[in-house]
Amino acid sequence: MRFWLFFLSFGFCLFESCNEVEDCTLDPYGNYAVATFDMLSGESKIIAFDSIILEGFGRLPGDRDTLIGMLLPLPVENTEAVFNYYTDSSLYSLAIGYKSQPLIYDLYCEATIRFYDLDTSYQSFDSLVIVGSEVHLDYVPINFEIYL
Amino acid sequence: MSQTADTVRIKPDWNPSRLHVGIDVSRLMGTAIKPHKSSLGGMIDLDFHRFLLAFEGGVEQINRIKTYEYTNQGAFLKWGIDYNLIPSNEYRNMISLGLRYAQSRFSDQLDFTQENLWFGTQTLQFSNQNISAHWTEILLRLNVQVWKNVFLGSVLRIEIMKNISAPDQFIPFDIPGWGRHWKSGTDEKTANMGFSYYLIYHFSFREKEIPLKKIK
Repeated sequence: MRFWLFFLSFGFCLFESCNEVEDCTLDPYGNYAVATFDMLSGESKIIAFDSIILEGFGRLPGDRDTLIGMLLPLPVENTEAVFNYYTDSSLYSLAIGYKSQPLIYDLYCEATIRFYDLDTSYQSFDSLVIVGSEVHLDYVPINFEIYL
Repeated sequence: MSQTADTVRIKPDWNPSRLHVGIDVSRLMGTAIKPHKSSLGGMIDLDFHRFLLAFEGGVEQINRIKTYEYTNQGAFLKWGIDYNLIPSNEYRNMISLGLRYAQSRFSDQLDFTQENLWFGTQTLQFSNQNISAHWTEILLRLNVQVWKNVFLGSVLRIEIMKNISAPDQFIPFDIPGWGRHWKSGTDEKTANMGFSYYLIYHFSFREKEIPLKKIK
């Protein structure tokens, strides 16, 4: 009896569970929201801006490229990012509110930041649709559809 | 041939007769083996008939240094009841089922750098102060006498019904006494399985009659 109880005691060690190691390339969290531009006619069209300014940061690189979509960087230290889009004849503004949450995606991956509860506190485009309120590259590759 | 029932009904003895005091050897081993973790834990229990009033507690400090640095330090306390399934064992060995309510209080901090296409390399720091968590545990426990009043105790525990207070800045990765809070991403561990190994000293106040086994 004593032997078996002792044996069982050690046997419990086998119950120690192992955690699966996550593939870090699957980390779905980015530090930007994604907006696409669509014409109200329904046809996708390439849009060219003279410049795009993120308030508090400055001009975004690559802003003079012709675009059908754009990455909108979200500063982690703030809860709102205001973008001003300049063309030769007009100015459009987009203010995005958001929450951020640092997390360790997996023990062996780099720490990352999850942006969620994306919303627009102000926008001057013809219309705007929030397609996905969380930056999650797997589930919601596009966050905003902007119509001009 | 018929057998007569030779059962002796002994009146339950609710007066405590012994105290178990133990140190968590698995935590000491973990401290020795795992460079990122240092932990100390102990237990104490007191018998009442076939029941035991049990307390477990400990402190834990974790410092994971990878591409990030995560530090977590705190303490935990668990209390509850065990039910001895083999009170008639002549060596005072024990197999018991138990239930615990557990509480943990801790602080943690996450430091990391992030390469950002727009903002360059950012050094980020987040911290939480005085986070509390509580949960329930179901236990299967074995105590085996190894020498006179010295016992080895192994505990297999299933941890469920976890609740954690709202963190200040980020979601903790570890909870002292529970283990890892996250599986991955935002996939929370709602249940956990744990194992503890105790070295226990048996203090006896008085002799308590060992109940006879029932003879069928």
